[in-house]
Amino acid sequence: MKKVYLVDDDIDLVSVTKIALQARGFEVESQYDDEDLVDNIRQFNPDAIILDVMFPDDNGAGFRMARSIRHHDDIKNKPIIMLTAVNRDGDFPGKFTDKDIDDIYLPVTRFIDKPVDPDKLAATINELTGK
Amino acid sequence: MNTLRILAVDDEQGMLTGIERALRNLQVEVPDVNETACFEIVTAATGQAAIDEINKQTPDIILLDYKLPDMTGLDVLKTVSNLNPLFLTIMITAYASIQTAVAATKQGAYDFLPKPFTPGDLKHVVRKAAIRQVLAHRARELQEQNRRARFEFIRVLGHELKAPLAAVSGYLHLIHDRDLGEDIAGYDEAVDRSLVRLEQMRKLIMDLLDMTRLESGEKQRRIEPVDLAAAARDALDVVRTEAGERRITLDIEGPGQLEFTADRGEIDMVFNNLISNAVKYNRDEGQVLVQLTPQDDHSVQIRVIDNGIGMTEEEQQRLFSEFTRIKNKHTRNILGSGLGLSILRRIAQLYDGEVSVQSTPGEGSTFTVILRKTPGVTPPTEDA
Repeated sequence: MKKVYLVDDDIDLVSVTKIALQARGFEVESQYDDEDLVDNIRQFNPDAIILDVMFPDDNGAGFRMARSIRHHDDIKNKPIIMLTAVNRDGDFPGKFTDKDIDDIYLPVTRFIDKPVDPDKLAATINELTGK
Repeated sequence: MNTLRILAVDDEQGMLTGIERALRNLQVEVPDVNETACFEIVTAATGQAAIDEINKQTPDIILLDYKLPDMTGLDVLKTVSNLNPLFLTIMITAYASIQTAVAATKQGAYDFLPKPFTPGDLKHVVRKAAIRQVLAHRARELQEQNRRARFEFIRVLGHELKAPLAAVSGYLHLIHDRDLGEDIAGYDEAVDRSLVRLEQMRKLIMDLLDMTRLESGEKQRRIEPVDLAAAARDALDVVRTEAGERRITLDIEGPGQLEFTADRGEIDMVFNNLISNAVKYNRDEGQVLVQLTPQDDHSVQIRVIDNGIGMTEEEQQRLFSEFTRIKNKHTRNILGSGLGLSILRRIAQLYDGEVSVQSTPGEGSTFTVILRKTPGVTPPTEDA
């Protein structure tokens, strides 16, 4: 069973995504903020990581988490999927696409638009982790 | 100090030198906004040189000779008319004919200075134009600040409305897709959480309407004697069930009856916001104490004390901004509009009062509201 680690600040969105992924055959662990993130990922050893963390008062939280994951050799190669919304915060013109990914500032593997289609999310995880 | 840029346009060098000398050390006080303007002077000897200068850097004031070697002052104004609202033109003319004046005004000239003029005449028209420009700058700044504040408010509001929508739509999708299989209790939970988030959205919209009404000043206020003690007891009743479930005790201290001239709806908002926060941000088996203290004949102190989760200094500083909800692992399950304390503060302002908070993380918070009897808030007289 493939393992997915999920970080989202909204308790209901964590529940929803967790249930949807479990129904599609994934084992899911989650947390709500960046506390002990690297250690928790090491311990759970997921096949993929999903981040959706852009609080209104902290747009950069998700990207900081992605960067900290990339700074640790033992977990840095894990695929990171970041959930993004069209112009969600106004500070970013338009939405992020995979073209915006760069190794230093936006070191994620894939962007997925919100609201998230669970089938598409599952397909993306499968694609990035190899069938 | 505001430095206004003046462009002086004249083909007589002596005139330009005279203008520079008269205005170089001039300072204009603008008392309404408590500012002082001083001047930076640039010159041009022909119409074309003036146009080039205006296009290079728009001046605040133009002293424009009507009769220039290559064109008239009117031609200059026509050429740069696209920039016109940004500068004020003072037309200098030897022939102060009515036709010239009318034509120049049509092109947006602000004032006239007939030749010959004294340094005093010049300073007088420049002073008038300068005051107008400083006020216009200030108005544009305020407009820009308002525009930004409005944009920021709507941006965050959008975010706050999208979060519950995303949660509810997520739950509906998982119900639709039967993602929980035969787990009936799981579906119940999904429905319950959806209802909670919808209620949060409703509360946000209601608070937003309250706040807008308070801000617009268009809310119908019904000023009458209100018993604050009764209002406090009513607000405690609203949270009694929730407090009971978490074994939080609710107490009230002070006179059994305390009359204050106010709008009952506003008083209810004060107590409801303070008391619901004291319960929400409490711990199980915590305490909430409401203290009512008449200060003197004219003011009253309302204090709501809890021994709940408390706040750090940094959290306290952000507390009264719109949409601020203290987010940490103790508060993750607590839903709120983030507008309650903004509303509270606006109401306190209506009563010439204030809201303050003292808090220690892990020990609890004390909110203190002072309401004063204000001149605008008087009970209706018998014959009114």
